[in-house]
Amino acid sequence: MFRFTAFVVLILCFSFALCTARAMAATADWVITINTKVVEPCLNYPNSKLNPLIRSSIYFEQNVLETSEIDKELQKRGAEPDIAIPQTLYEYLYSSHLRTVGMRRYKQLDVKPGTTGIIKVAISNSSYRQEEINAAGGAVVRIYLDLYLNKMPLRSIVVQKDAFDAFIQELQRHGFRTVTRMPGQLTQSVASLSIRSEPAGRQQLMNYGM
Amino acid sequence: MLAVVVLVAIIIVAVLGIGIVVSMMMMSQKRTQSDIETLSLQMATGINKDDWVGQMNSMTEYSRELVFSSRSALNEAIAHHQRMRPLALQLMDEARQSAELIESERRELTVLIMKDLQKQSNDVADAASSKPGMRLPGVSADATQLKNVDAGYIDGVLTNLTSAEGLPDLREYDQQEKYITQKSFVYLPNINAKLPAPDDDLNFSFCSLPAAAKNTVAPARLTSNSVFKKLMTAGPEAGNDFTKCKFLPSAVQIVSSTKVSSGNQLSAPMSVSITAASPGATTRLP
Repeated sequence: MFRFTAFVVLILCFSFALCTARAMAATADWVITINTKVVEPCLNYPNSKLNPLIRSSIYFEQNVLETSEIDKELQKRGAEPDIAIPQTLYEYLYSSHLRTVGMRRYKQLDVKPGTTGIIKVAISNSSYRQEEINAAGGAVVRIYLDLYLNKMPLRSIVVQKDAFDAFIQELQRHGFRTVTRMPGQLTQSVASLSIRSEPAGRQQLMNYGM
Repeated sequence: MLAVVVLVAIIIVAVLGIGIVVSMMMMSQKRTQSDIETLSLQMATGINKDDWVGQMNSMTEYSRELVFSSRSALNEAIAHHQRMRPLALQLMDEARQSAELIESERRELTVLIMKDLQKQSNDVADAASSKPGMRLPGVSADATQLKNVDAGYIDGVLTNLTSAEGLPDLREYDQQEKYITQKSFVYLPNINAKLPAPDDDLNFSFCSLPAAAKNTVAPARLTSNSVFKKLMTAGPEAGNDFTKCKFLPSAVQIVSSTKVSSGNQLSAPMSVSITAASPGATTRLP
């Protein structure tokens, strides 16, 4: 009886987590995906300070947006309706030894300003996993700035559960601090990040600045 | 009558002898040329070993894009989003430091390539000094001496880089500064593509290197001496400061000399000059 109850509770929790994750993704107007990969062989001459080189591939996609009353009014006056944007390569960011060293941009960020979304980070299972986590952290910080300047609020960052702690450490290295917000507590912050794990179970709020 | 026949026979033998000597000398030069061509191709292939020159060219351009993009973000933050200024400034500093690192590594790679060419030159020179040369009936040739091994590039060959589609402001700036071709937006070779102030203190040196065309990488090949442009002498003499070589090389020119003698009467140095271009950049971006 106890075992059956525990099993039912486990299934309910899993379903809830899954639905929550799906619900969160479904309500995100756009999704930015960051995939990291070691570029091999590359610049592996003797005493090279640019090896290993990690490439973070950054894609964006926009879902079909719900049309608000204001949008309908604008469309009546000739504005074009919002359309879905399939997954599009935005840029490559190159990192080596804890530092972003280069960028190759292919497209401008054509996501509608004012819409909210999430960043999903996917780190490969290579022998340079720590370097990839470092690269992903650097990429997230740069993308976050791009989003802020383009008036696109970031809802959360989703990271693999087994890379969660290392990813948090990497963001700390970039000047973000973990925060435990108490009810009613005011936190002065230049920028806030909400980081969630996938599968669900870990969550962390971080602030940049004081 | 007999005297005439003998005289004619002597003349015929003399002409045949001169012909044999001349053909031996030409054979000797051909052999020397073949050896130098093989050496040139070998050295040229070593210049862009594992596409390090292509990759470094690309990383220099990526570093430039990062600096430009970070500066644009910082300017935007200062103008409209003061609260993000500290973060934007931090990322700007990182981009600038990375640009200095890339430039430093580019210089290191240049020195590495030049030293490798110098070593190969010295090895050939040492091997030649221990060779006895060639001795044939009527003609002899000393062992081939390397006079000069120069590193450089091929005139008219552009870079393997194109300006970024995703940064129209940078492309416009590059067009104004004439860093790129008008139609295909390919960066011009052997330039220091400086960015606008305040980042004009950083160096972004692009070298000449043919890009891959339709998945085909340009192989190492012999080419005309007239299109070779020298950057710096690599060998066989020592003493050159390779850190002063301004750009990564992508071609090599070898000048060799062989003293050919016919008995004790005829003797002349025969000089051979061969130019070879390195393999081009691969299709795969870093």
